[in-house]
Amino acid sequence: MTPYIPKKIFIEDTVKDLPLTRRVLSRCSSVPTEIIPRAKELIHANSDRLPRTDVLLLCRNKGRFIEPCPGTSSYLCCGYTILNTGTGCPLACSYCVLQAYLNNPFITLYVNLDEMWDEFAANGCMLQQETMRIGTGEYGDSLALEHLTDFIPSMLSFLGKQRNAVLELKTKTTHIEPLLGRDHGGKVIVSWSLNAEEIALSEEHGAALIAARIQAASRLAAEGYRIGFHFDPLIAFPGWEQSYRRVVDMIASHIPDSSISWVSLGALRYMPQLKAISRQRFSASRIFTGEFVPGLDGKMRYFQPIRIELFARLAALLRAYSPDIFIYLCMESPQVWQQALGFAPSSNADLKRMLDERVKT
Amino acid sequence: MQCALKTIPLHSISIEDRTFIITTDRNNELLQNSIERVGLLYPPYLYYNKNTQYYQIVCGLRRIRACITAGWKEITAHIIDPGSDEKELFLLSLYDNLSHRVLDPVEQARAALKLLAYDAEDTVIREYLPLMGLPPTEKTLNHLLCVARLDPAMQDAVAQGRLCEAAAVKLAHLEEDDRKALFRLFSQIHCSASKQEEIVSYCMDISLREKTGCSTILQEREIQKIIAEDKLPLSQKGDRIRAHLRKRRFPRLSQYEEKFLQQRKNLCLPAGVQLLPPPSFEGGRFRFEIEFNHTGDLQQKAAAVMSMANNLLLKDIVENK
Repeated sequence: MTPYIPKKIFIEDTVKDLPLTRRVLSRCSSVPTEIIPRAKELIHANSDRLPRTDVLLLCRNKGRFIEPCPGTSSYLCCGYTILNTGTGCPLACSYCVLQAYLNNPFITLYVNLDEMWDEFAANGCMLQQETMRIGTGEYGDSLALEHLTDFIPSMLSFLGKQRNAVLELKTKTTHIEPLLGRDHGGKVIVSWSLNAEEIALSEEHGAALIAARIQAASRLAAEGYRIGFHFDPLIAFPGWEQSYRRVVDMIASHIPDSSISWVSLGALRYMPQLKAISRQRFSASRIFTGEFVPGLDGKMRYFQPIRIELFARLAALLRAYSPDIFIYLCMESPQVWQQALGFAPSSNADLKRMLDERVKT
Repeated sequence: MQCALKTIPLHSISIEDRTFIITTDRNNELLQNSIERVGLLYPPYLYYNKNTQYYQIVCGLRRIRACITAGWKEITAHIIDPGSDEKELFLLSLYDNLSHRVLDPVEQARAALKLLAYDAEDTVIREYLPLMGLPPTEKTLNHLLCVARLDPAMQDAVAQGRLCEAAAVKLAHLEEDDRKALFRLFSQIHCSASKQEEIVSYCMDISLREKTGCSTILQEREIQKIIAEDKLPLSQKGDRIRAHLRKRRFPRLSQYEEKFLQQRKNLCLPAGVQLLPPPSFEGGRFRFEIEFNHTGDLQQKAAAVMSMANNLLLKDIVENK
């Protein structure tokens, strides 16, 4: 995979001298830059534009860096804590929810990391007392911009001082070099979003091939990292079962099940406006022609029996490879859990507890 | 920009020249009557084109048409000075229209397309869309440009409200055959704007999924049979075609709905008592709806509902068997 280099960089005036800004610029020395007075104005003026993955915006995060996953009403959420280091992703997946969710079309990095560390310090007591699964993969790919930011070394050093905090990196790339040869202390779970090869090829335009993702996972498993897999979004297409079976077989032949912390399953779901946005960018995509109905949270979801079929089949394939593998569903109702997996957490807290148990160090 | 009132022969005006015109062609009986009764109250604005040696209409197409229909040979008009800036002339036309009426969607689309010849996209979005009462967004501009690209017949249908704007925007994205087939269908049935949009969406999704054309889908026997039914009112034809396409678009959901209806029928609920499934069968919340006329009626129906708690058929429905 070729590492991402933007074609233009906007820099908010107040952050132009911050260390992360200088680091990013030093690694994009030939990229034209423009200093802007306020990022907010640039974002506002472009808020209804389609994503511009070729433009990078370096600015200040004026909100919180650490926040609980908003989850979604009426469905169970895993209680993940979002570390908001930026928004947007250069991988250009046709189904990406960020296309409709964000009102900022640019790939954005928050460079005021000193304030992020302050926020961590302010949350220090909490980090010492309860398990916190922190992730950077909610609003972008955790590794896609690492070659510009060098975020991981400082995060590893921070995690080394925390008793119960772990970091989950979620990616579709193979940019694992920053993780190799590091003392991670078992505090990092590196997760890959996986899909059927056909879907990866037709819908995940900038992402690594599935086989390459699993190879990368295998290298990190060999270095003692815990691995996660997210089959999300599962897509029901003709021949889906065979295709997903091939991916599970690939995992089985490359990754020891003892290295796998969890596998999550989530079926394609989207805000209603995403379909039109995605059609403008990826007109050949057929994934939105499935049987989608409005869910209880207003998002479009596969008709429930289709979701149950997808989850139950995937779970059976995964359990055939490893009976003890921990599988959970992302944003699903207890009813669907029960019918697809044969059990259901009693609440969000119960699901959080199950996942926290998997990462106790 | 300066101009002077002059009387000129009507045949020296080019009616076909639409350089500055966004107005949709419509008969305007009131205007015709007014001109025939009291004459031309507001002289049009014209610009002499040296190349064609005709006057171009800047403002007043409908007035000039009415004068021609009334059999006039000459007209008094404001003749704009030669050498005027084309953009300024177009803006004169646009502001004149906006000053006394709301533009229809086709006129808005034509205005946006013309403005793009003079100004950058950003300027058109920011300055001119709000002027036409539209939100200043790229999406709105793109919609207008879709309408501007439609065939004249489809534009007429949009201007007259026979084809809704949202459906028209979707049609603009289709291949010509598919676009024409759907447009033909809308001339053979009656349906509301939202149903038109639904029909287009179903056809587009089915065609993408099955790698076929919308025109092929509309040629299917079931659809042709509905269209050919002589005694069926056009609105019912629309409803049936929409229902058929929905079933094609959502085969499993439709099958489930049919099964639910059959199961509900088997419950033999009293009249006025209705079992309602969760919307789209999402989540497990069923509802009973009771209609009653008096308390005795309510008591009787409530008892019937209560007895359902132990009904095995209802258990099957609720437990999704």
